[in-house]
Amino acid sequence: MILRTTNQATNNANLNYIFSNQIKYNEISQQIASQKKILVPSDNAIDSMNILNINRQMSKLNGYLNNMSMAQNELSVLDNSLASITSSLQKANDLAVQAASETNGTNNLQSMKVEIDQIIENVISLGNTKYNGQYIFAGTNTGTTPFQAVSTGGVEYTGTPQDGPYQRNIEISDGVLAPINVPGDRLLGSYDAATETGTGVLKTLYQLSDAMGAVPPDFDTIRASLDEIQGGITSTTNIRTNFAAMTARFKMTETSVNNSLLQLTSYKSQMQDLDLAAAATNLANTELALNASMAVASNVIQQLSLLDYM
Amino acid sequence: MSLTSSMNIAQQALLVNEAALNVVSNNISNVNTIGYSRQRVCLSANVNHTSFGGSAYLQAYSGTGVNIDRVERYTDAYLQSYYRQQNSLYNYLNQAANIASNVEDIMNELNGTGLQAAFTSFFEAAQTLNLNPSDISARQNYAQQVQTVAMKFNELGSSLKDARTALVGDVNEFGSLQSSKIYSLTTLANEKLQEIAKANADIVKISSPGMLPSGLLDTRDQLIEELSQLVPVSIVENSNGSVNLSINGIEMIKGSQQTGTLDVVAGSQSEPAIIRVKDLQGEVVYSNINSYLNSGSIGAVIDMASEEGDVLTIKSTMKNLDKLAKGFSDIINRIQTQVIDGKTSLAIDKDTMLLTDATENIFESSDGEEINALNIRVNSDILEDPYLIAAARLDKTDPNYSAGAIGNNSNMLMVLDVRTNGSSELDNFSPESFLSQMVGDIGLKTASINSSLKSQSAVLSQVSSQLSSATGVNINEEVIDLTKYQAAYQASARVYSVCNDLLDVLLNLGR
Repeated sequence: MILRTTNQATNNANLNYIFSNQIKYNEISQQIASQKKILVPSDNAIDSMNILNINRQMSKLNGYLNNMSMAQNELSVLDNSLASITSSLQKANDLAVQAASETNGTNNLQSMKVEIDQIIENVISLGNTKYNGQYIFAGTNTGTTPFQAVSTGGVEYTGTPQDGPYQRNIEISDGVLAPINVPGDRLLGSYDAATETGTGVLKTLYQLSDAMGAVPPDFDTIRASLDEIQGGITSTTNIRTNFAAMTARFKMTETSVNNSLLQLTSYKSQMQDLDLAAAATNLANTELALNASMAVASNVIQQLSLLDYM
Repeated sequence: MSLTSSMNIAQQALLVNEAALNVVSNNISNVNTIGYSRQRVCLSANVNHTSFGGSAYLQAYSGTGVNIDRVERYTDAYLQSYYRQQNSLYNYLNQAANIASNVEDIMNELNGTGLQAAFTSFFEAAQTLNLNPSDISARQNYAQQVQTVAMKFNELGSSLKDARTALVGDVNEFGSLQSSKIYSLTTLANEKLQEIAKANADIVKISSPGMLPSGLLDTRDQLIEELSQLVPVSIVENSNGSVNLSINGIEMIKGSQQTGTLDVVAGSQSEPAIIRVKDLQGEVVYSNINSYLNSGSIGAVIDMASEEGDVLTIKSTMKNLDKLAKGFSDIINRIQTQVIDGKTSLAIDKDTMLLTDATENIFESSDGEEINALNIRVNSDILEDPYLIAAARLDKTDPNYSAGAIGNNSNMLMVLDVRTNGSSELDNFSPESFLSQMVGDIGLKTASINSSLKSQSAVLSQVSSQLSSATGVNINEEVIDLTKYQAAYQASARVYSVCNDLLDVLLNLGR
């Protein structure tokens, strides 16, 4: 309790009142100008940390969205190639069925062989499909043409083998990886004409071509190839289905990632963004207080003196 | 007893009231003088008596007028020492809050231009490279973003270092101590000590027993108050009016002699400025009093630049930033070059476009020391040839291993994993969560200093108004005194003139 006050103390006190109101006024105007509640971490340390964590989370989610959209582009190219391969195999199947009926003459079979050879060429060029400069069926050897003709006849697969680390993965959410490629040897196989060995549909097609061109035609091999071609069509279709399912999964994941982003944005906005109405009200209140303290100060400093009454 | 004695009384009253008016006038003129203590004339009746008449029964005694007993100076030693103590603390917190807000501004990650933004671009570049591991433009982008991170570390590190150098100098930079804040503050404190000792000497010289020169005392009190803004001060008054002054128990002034001088010397990297105390002969009596300066702005400067981690200091922030720079570069270098679980990290040979063992680190130190925020930089070979970045990671003993597997992105996936999972190099935090912890910590500590400052400011203004209430000038009070002494002066003059008239009457009786 102070029983006596002095002019200096009164002046200082009034100055302090004005200062504190002015500081508050400036703070609120700054918030309104920047539309942000938190300007420096000390304004609210916990929320600042949360905002930084949300920023990181959002940047990660945006990265996943980008990954998935890039992957979908590649998968649609992959799907087109697989569709073309399937229809080529279908055509080979038709030819094989035709050839299997032993009524065909040598000439007919010769022309079918030419067609089969074209199908082989076509399938090989589909196996060498490139997207964004990378061979998509080469496993991770994306810089090397995966299906290359061998000088002694046939075609070899130079990509990463299906037993090896062929997968190219993308991250679609925290720690979740999705492989977006299929190795060429699983899809098409290979064939070495010198040793007459190979795998997959390529082996079947080459052998089918040889059987058609043989004199006399090797009808047993032609008949045997029917099942193998069917098997090739089925496995290609299976691969297609798998990637179609993955595309669907990406679409779903995209939706949920977008939802998370929306939630994070609103959460961040709650912490960081200013409630303009509240701030404007606050500003008006502070302005009132500032005006009042100045009015009081001018009264106290100018007028209240005994000298005025003498 | 005679008329002349009444005239003498009146005359003396005139002189006394004139002196009293003088004091009032002095008070009024010093109403705005900082550190001025109001003075009050203490009057007393003269104790000599005079007797009336000659006869015994008429014997009565009357006083012989008024006298100035003393001019009292209003002070309150307790309030003053309390005020000094609170003022020291206030100045400590004020200085600390200034420095903390400086650190906070440097490390402000909320405006989106800080280290987090650099990390974000880095990881985005890693995602892009992950999608196209053999693409040169993705690799160039990655190298650029790595460079951005390193440069951001450099920028923040040097801002913090400059802030610290401005406070306490840098042991490795010649002349930086002499231009530092602590040096100028200590010089100021020494000047104050000198002036206080001189004021002590003047006071002893001028004052006579019981009569102390108010003006000099005010000056000295003001000097002590100014010194208390810099260092914690305690004083003991001597009987001759001088004071002994000590800083947290270390005697600096004894009477009119300055027995101690502060001296700043360069110390070590962790304690760049050390304050010593030298005695009269220039001998060092205390070789390091930094820990004694727990209050006042010099103390704040020392503490904010010191190594201790509990409170927010520039050095602790630098240490955390260094740790982040070291941890981040260790993680990235480990993934870049080391064999992990039998799998080798692989870069691309730009001539053959085949995989080759990655041997070049991404980050290196520019000065050969351990990597920190200041010396972190990107290996120039990586910048020149981004194919040296290891995006692939394969088991080379696997029979299916092929050097053509340039589309392998396993190593980039490891880089991306750094973002999600903590690493042992950073106390199991990810780089970004380590950063947000760090920023949050700075925010919390700055907020705590700010709120201490706010409450200390309230305490100080309370004590200040108490002290002012005891010692300061109130114009209204002075106006009343003025009127009072004016009336007394007028009345005394009246008495004199009445006595004069009566003397005239007496002189005319004989005509």
